[in-house]
Amino acid sequence: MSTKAVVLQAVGNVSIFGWLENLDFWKALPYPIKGALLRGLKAGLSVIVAALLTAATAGTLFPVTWGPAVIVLLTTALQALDKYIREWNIDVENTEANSGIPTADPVTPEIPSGDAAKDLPPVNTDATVAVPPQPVVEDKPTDLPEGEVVLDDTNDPVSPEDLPDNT
Amino acid sequence: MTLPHSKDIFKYPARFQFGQAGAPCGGSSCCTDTCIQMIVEYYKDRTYSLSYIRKMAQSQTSYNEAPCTGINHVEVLNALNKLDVTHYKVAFGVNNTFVGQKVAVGPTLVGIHYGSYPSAYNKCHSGHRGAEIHGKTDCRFRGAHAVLAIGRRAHTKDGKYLHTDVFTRDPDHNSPARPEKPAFDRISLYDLGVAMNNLPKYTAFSKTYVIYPTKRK
Repeated sequence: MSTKAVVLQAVGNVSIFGWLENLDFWKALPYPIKGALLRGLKAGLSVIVAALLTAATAGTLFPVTWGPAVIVLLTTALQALDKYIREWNIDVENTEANSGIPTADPVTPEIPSGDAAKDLPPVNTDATVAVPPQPVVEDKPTDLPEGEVVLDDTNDPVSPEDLPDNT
Repeated sequence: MTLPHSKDIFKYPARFQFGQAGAPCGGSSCCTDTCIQMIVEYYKDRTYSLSYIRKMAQSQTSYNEAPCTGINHVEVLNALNKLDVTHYKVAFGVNNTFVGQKVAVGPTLVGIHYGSYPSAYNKCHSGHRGAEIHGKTDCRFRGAHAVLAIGRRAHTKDGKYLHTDVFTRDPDHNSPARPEKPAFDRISLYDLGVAMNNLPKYTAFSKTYVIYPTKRK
């Protein structure tokens, strides 16, 4: 991978707002509420950054040396928040499914097109995995290998020709 | 139910991200995991829970592993490999024709913009053409989603070819609010292409996204 790809992958693995998802109260919030809160935070940050930039441009603010650093910090936070919202589609008004396929961008930002399997980045085999979920073993017969389950199937298979058209 | 040990994927049951015990995030983030579940059932005649599939997917990496975050293509391929399905590859920037070719080989995971996916008859009025059979019922979800293309056919009328259809299995059903469990959707390959092409247009993806088989069962 190029240096750019390595840096992007590293940045993609550090989620500034990802820690929210470990908080119980946050998990309990419905998606529309989360979306409203995040959009509100983003709007507030945007206004603050815009005001600071305007004042700084006019020369009426931040005579001190740390002024630009504050603007950069807030802008970075705003960008991270925007990325978080877009990446997990938390701003969509859904009540059930969320985006089950996170963007590929943090992993392979430079794949151009077509069959990209040969360009897959190496996986981080040294990574630690935080308490992985365990397989469901309900109704599991004792002769099944580890991890296998038996699901309750009430949806009998249907032949493609058995159903009428909607139209 | 015993899996059919068949080469005909239509003889295998459709699986859904909701209603499966122990699924991460109650199944909300499990569309891709559910597609993996169906792929493994087809090729290996073994059923793994969504939580176990997620565990396998994340066993070699440390991306965002919050339960309400889905899995990316690296994790998909890792899960398939761990579950002994080693002949899948990922492709970005491909079109619906590519899916039409690969689905003739085996079940093909397709990334789509769900807001552009054909809806069930009389559901999700969006001005778009609906599905020919079944279709989307989760009208409010408009994010990135994964469906499994399982077959195709020529749509004819009076012996005349009209267009190509594709059969898909959409995991986004079987919730308390939407308990329906369609065996498959049938949509035109064109409409699948619209949903594919709108993935980079309306979500964080920058290209279309497909995970496809390289050999038949």
